[in-house]
Amino acid sequence: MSQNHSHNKEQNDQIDRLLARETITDDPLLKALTETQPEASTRFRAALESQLLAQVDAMSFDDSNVSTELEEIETPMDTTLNLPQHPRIQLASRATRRFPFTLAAAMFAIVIVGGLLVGMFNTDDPLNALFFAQGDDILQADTCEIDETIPIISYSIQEGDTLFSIAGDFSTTVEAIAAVNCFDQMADGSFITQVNDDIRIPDTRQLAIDACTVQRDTRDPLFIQSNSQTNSRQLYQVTNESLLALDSEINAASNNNAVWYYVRVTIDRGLIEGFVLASLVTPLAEDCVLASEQDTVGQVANPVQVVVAARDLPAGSVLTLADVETRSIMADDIEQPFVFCCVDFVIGREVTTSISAGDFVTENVLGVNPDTGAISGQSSNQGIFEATATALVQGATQTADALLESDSLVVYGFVSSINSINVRSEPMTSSDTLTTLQPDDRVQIIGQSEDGVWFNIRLEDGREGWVAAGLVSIDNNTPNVTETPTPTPTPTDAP
Amino acid sequence: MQERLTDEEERALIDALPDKDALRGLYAAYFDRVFGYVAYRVGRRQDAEDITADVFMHVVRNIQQFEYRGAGSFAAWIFQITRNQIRQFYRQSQRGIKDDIPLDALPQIRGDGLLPDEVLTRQETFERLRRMIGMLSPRRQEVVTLRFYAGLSNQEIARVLDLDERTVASHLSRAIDDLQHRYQQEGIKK
Repeated sequence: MSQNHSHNKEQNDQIDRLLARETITDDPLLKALTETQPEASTRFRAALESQLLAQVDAMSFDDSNVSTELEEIETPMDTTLNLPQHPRIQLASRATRRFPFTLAAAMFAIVIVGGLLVGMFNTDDPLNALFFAQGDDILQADTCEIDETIPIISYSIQEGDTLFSIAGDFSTTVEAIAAVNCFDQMADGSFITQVNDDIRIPDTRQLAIDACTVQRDTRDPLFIQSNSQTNSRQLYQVTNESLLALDSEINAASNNNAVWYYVRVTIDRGLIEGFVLASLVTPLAEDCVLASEQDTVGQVANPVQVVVAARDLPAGSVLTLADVETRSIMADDIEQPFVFCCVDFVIGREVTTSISAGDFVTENVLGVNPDTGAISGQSSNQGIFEATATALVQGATQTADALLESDSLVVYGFVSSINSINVRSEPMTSSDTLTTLQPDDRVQIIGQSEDGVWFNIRLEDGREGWVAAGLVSIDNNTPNVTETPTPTPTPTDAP
Repeated sequence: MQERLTDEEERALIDALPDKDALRGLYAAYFDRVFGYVAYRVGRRQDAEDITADVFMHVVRNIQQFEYRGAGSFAAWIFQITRNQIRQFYRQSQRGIKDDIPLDALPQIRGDGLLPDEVLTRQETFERLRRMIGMLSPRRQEVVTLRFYAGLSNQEIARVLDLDERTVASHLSRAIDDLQHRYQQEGIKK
């Protein structure tokens, strides 16, 4: 896992230097990314600027409103007696027991301002006066509770340390350290701490699980949520299914730096992915696979069920049972935005974008706001998951590559979708539909699109078209099936 | 490219608002980054110009609501506004990031001293990268574009997206690995 982290760090450092124009890279991708910066026309740039200046003229600015947070907080700090009434700050006894501040140690107090070490002995400073006056107490935000579920490392602050440097050494952030220690953030964005203090540092080594079965660890209802935030949409209520954690995320703002697992659960009707709070589940250690050991490319994909349009649907149509059908696709890495797994979650909803038969019914199609989950039309909060049309074909594509490059002259495939599929004139869903193929129909594959998502096929009548590669399986057993025509059963029952 | 302001310079300019020179300074520091990011997300030059104008208008109109919360907070604020404007645009236009865009509708690509056909090649590369990034998961699309086109640091991205910096670093790293893979594959087929 530490390997994974150092890889991240190395790569990030490289990008930092690249963006600072300190270095030129040989890496073709990074080179391309930095070389393709869009540029606005100077005419537009100048026009907008004068428009903005005119806007400033039109507005009347009231200076008293242009106050910063600094000014708002300084006022109540002038007299320490007022402190407990201040909404943001209270004296913290809990943290005091854990990390005692003594007056003697306070003589060495440092304030860390954005990574700069600044001495703090000016007693005229209201902040400083407060600091000494309170003696053993430190300031703590009143909403902060130390989350015991976050794995931590204990560290004693050395002279010359800054929170910034400590964060760097432990691959974490200043904010994350502040949160697990319940440090109060000063108005200028800094935190108060001092030499010889023991502080807690989030142990990032334990956070980065990658594929790990986790089990519900609470009697309370456990929901899979659409985002790594406690107020995000609930996608699915977990009963006793085991969840596969695929990734972890630490949300800085949500629930005191909570760790979330991105999990997948397979249910009868399909597959759902989303976030659960790591503190509510327990990983089963023996199942865990380290990211570095896991090679995702060319992995065998899991079949999942998705909802697709059964016919062309104009924007504005309200979905009925006849409009949609489900299709089994191979999806492992999940990329496309929020495809629905199950028909009953989409019935009655309104299509805001016109889609063609065979297109995925995604949240975008239904006009779902990805952040709030607000849905136009009827609302139902379950059964959405992300699925991809790109990664899912990795397996099939590789087989096709191998076959197309090998000496076998003719490659056949059969329609592996459980529904009929469209043959299109171009490798894109917006192109014309030439014809449709039924499940198990055979096609000759003569090529594939650059991105690997489409197969170029030849129909029996000689016409050529494109089908989505994920819906066709390569048949590598019988490459020359046309040479040996299948015997047609002779009808025996004469009328 | 416009020189970056130091944190102190930026703070001084913000404090001086609504002074017009301060506004000019901030505009100069952020215009390219906002436009670059927007152009990347929407692809068409015309759309990018409209959205960029909306973003800066919004910034100026709401500047009194902005609270300075340390270095990077202004950048985070601006790009939160930018993201919202882009989201609104997609909701109204119902286009997808993967839509093919004709070459002449794409924005110009910065390339001082390049020959016209070299500029054209870069424009094609831009569109190709755009499509490739469009295949990443939505969050990774955000992280990559905020990093490379908005020029934000991981810490600033973490603020904009409300994530932890480690999470941003890990998304970025995996997104790059994924893009590397696709980029190489495309290169081989060409």
